[in-house]
Amino acid sequence: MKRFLTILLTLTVLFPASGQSWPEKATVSADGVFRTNSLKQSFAGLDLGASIPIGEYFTAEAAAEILIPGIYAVSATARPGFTVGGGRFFLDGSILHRSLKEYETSQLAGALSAGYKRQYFSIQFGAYAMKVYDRSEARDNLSATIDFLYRGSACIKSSESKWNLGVAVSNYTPYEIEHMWSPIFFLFGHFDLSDRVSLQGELEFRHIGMLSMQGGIYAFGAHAGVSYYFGKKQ
Amino acid sequence: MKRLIFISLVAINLISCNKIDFVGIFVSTSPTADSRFADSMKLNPSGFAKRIESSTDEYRLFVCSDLHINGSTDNLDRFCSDCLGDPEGITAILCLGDISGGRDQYKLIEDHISGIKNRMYFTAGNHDLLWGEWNNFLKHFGSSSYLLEICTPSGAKDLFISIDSASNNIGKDQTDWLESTVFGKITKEETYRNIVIFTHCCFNIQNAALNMAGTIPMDQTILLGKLFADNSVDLVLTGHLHIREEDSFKAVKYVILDSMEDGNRNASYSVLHIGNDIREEVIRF
Repeated sequence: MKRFLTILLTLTVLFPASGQSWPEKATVSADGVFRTNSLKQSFAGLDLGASIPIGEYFTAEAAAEILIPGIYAVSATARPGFTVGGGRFFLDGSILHRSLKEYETSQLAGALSAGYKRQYFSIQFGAYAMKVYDRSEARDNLSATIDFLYRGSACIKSSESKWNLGVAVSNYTPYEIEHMWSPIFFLFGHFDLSDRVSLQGELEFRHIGMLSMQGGIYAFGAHAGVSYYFGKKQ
Repeated sequence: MKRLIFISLVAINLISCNKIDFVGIFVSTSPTADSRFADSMKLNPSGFAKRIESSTDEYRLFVCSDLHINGSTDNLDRFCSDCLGDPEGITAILCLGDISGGRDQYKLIEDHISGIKNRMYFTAGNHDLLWGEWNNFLKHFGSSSYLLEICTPSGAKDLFISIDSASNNIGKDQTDWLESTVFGKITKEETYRNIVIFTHCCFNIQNAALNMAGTIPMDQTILLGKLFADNSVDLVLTGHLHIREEDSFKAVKYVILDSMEDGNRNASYSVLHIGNDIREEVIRF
């Protein structure tokens, strides 16, 4: 515990949160997506997202993804949070629904997590439960499984910089949750075109196999798009 | 200095450990799923490893999984003894992978199963790939992706399909083979009484997701779940989890077998009674 506090204090000193403003601005975003899955099938489509701060202590987010062929996903997140030590401590409650038309299957997941975010890094841990619905005549739904959820990210510049690059590791996206043992590695960045408009991009590499399994990257994804801030970003 | 020596000794001990392949945790020390599938197909280009004639319309198969042999062979020896002493005679024995639990165990295993090896059909598990042992697996136990056909006196035929899931990934080429050759051609040209899949890693069902070793990715679970259902697969047998589970997805039955590893208090194997339907009997040690 002592060591953990020392690390946290060191990070706080090394990556100060001065200038961080809460709440963040309301945002809408649109991204083009290309993705492969573990069987090298390719999908292309569109991600749409919106983030709305409600007062100083609450943010609501919604996201939708349409991939061709035949994958539709939506998610909603409620995020209460408050400022601690110059950073933001938050709780995330999310619901995800994903429909795979070709396979007559849908997934519904609920996730709860807690995190801490500063200008240069964020960490988040929690758990999720998932149910897989069989849309065929058999209607053999798979029972919910409970697994862990995590995300850690770090950036090379302050989150309020005009441009930034960062890396993250997580087992979920706004549209999908993987096993805790199948981490997804992200390389992401943004460039502000103006006070209100920003370009963003993200590459994702999905990894399978940990511990006694044979490791390897098995799927790839790329996102690129634009965000609009209602009010000056900084 | 003392700390450095201690850390070095621990590192040397871990790297030379005979039970865990530390390098293989992060970087694959055996070929990918597609490469292994190509190796398997070289051994059985038609897909069929063997066609067996059963002397009766109803027959029995023994199925074991996750022996993790690493020096000790108590449960394996008892299993072999049960197989050899079976009064009704066994038509075939399926081994669902992770037969090895340490480095260089294949010779020892082969010595102990010599009495039943000619009736055994193997599929590779994740532990069978560690320390780059895939080529040894091929040499000792053969292909990991193949078909086994059992014909009965009345003309009924049953199809058993071994899928290599040893790296938790079925792979594109093997999936194409299942879609276009096995279910696109073979099961269309021949009417099978029963179709059984056997593989090592378990599909993403029930408690499997909490298992530290992981399960087959959700997209493959969903794709193969549909493929199995559309092609009237009767039973999917897997191991890997070490805890027995039964479930059903799209009207296909999935069974995860117990580990048969020495020291496992729940160690068991299964006897399948194959007739017009399939009945499973669990034999506990």
